[in-house]
Amino acid sequence: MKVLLVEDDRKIGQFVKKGLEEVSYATVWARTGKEAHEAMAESQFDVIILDVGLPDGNGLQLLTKWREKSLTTSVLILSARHEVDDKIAGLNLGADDYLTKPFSFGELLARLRSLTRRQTGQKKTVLEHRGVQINLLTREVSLDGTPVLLTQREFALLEFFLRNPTRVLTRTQISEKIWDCHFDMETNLVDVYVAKLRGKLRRTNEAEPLFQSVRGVGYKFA
Amino acid sequence: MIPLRASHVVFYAAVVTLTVTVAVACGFWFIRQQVLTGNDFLLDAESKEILARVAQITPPVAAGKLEAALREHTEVDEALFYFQVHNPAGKVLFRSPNLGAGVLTDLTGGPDKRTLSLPSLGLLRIAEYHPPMVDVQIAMSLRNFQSVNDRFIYVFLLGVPLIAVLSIGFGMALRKSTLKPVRLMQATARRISANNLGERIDVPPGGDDMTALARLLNEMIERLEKSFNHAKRFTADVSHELMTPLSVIRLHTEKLLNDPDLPVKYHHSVEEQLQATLHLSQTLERLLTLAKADSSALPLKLETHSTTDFMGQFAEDAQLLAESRGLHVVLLQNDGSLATFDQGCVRQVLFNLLSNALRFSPPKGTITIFSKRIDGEWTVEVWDEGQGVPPNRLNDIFERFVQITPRSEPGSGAGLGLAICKSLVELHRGRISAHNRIGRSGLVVVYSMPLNTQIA
Repeated sequence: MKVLLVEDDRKIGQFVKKGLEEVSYATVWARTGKEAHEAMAESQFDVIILDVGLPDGNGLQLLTKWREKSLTTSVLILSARHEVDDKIAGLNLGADDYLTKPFSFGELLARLRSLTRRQTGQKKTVLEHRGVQINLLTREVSLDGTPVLLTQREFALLEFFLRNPTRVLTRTQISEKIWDCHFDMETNLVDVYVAKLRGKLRRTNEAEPLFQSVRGVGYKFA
Repeated sequence: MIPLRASHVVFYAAVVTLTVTVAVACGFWFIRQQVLTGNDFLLDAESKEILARVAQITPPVAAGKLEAALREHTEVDEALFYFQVHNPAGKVLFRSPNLGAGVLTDLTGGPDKRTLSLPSLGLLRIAEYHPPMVDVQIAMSLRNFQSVNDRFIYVFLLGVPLIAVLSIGFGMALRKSTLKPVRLMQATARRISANNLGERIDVPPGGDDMTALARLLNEMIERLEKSFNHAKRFTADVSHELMTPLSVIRLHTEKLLNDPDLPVKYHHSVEEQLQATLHLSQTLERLLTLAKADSSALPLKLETHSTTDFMGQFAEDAQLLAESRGLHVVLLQNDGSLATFDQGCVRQVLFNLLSNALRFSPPKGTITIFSKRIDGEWTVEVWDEGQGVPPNRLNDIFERFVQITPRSEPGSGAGLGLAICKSLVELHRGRISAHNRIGRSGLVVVYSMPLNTQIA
C-alpha cells in the first residue's frame, strides 16, 4: 500500500506521514504541487491524500490535471470546508472522497481503507455477515433466518454496514451516506440509529453488540 | 420620442391618428375653398354678360322683356348655370328652363354668395347681383363636388380607424424592437446569481442609451462579483489558516488520548482539551457559514421536492432522537405541496430547531411540528413545552452569540444555531420568528418561505 501525501503544513504532514507508516503504509510526502508532480512521475501510488491549499496553487487544479491525463488513482481531498465552495465541487472534479479539517486520524485511516477496497465492486443482491442477511431487491432482512422489519433509514444503514464488514465506518461517513448531510446535525442521530438497529438485531444469548463502537471514530460490524 | 410602455404606444397612436385627421381635414377644407373660389370667379364672369343685357332693357323691367333679352343666352349656358331674376318685392320675373320646379332662394339681406342645398337641384353655389330695378341670381351646381365630397368623407371615416390600428401595430413593433436589448438584459440579469457572477450582459452595438445602460449594469455586476469573491476568499483564507492548526491540535490530542502511557490523572484534561477543540472548530465553521450567507456567497442548490415526503423523513429522524431522550415528536401537516428549496439548508434549519426544542423540553415533553401551505408559502412551526423565552428577548434569540440559558449547560452551542437558521431562511427569501405559547409554557418558532424560491 503506497500513499502520496500532498500537504503543505509541516506539522500535519509529519504527523500523518508518521501515523501512516506506523500502520505500514509506505508514504511519500510532497509539500508543493511541483513536488507532487515529480513524485507522480517517479512512482505509482494506490491512493493520494490531497490538501487543497498549496503554496504553489490549488490542489483542485492539480486534481483536474491528473484526471485529464486519465489517472485513475483514488484521491482523498483534505481541506477546510469553506475552502472549496461545496464538497460536491471536489467530488465533481473526480475526487473519490473528501475529509474536512480539523480531522481525526482514525477517520482519515478509515476512509483510506474504504478507498483502497472500493474498487472491488459488489454486485450481489444478497449480502450476509455474521448471520445477518439482507436482500437488496426484495428489501427483506433476516437474523439467523428469522425475518426482521426495518424502516427505510435502518435498512440503508444496515446495507452500508454489510457492504463494509469488519471496517470502521465513521460517524461523518455514515451521516453523509445515509442523510446526505454535509453539515453538523448537532445531534447524536447516528448513535441513535445504530442503537435502534442493535436493538432490532439482538440475539438473546449474545453479550457483545453486533455493531461495535470504535472510540472517538465510529462503528464497526466486526 | 421612443415609445416604451404599452401606454406610450397608445399615446403614440393617438397622436399619429390625430395629426393625420387634422392634416386631411385641413387639406379638404383648402380644396373646398379653392373649388368655391373658382366657381365664384365663373359666376362673376357670367354675371357681367347677364347684367349687360339686363342694363339694355328699357324700364320698366317686365317678364316679357327679360325673356327676350336673356332667353337665348341662358339656353346656351344652361349646362353650367341656372338663372333667375326677381324684382325687389320677391316676384320672379324670369327663370331659366333648367331650373324646372326649383326656385332659387332669395339671398337679400345676407351675403351675396352662398352655398345652399335645394330639394330638386342639390347643392348649389348661388350668387345674387343687384342691378337697378331687379335682383339677378346666377347659380352653379356643386353636384360633382358633392359626390367627391361624399366619397372623401366615406374614405376618411374608414381611413381614420385604419390609421389608428396601423399606428398601434407599428408602435408595438417599434416598442418590441426598441425593448429587445432591454429584454436581453433582463434575462441575463435574472440568470446571474452567486453561482455565475462571471457572466456579463451583451452590450448592444451603437452608442445609444441602451449601450450605456448595459455598460452600467455590467459595472454593477462587476462590483458585486468583486465583493462576493472577496467574501469567498476571506472565508477560504480564514478556513485554511485556522483549520490547519486546529487539525494539528486535534491530531495530537487524540493521539495522547489513545496512548496507553498517558497517566490517568491527565485523562480528564486531555479529554476537555479535545472537546474544546471540537467546539472551537464547530463555532468557526458556523461563523464562516454566516459570513458566506451574509454576502450571498453561499450558493443554494434549489430543487423541487414534495414537502410531505421531506417532512415525513425528517419526522422519522426527529421521533427517534426524541425517543432516545424520553420525549415525543408529533408531525401535523396539511395537504402536501411541491416546493422549491435547498434540501440540505432546510434540513439544517430543522435539525437546529429540533435540537433546541429537545434541549429545552421537560422530561416526557412533546414537540409538535406543523407544516402547512398558506398563500403560496410553506410555513413550518416547531412547538416545545420548555420554559419559553422572556417576551422582551424574543427577537434577540436570532442574533449572533445570544444565549438565553447559561453557557455552561451541556450540549449548548455557541448561540449561533438560530442565527444560522435566520440566514438560511432569508437566503430562501423567507422569514423566521418566535413567540411564547399562550395558556402554557413553551416556545414556538415559525418560519415561512415562498413555495417557489427564486434567487435574483
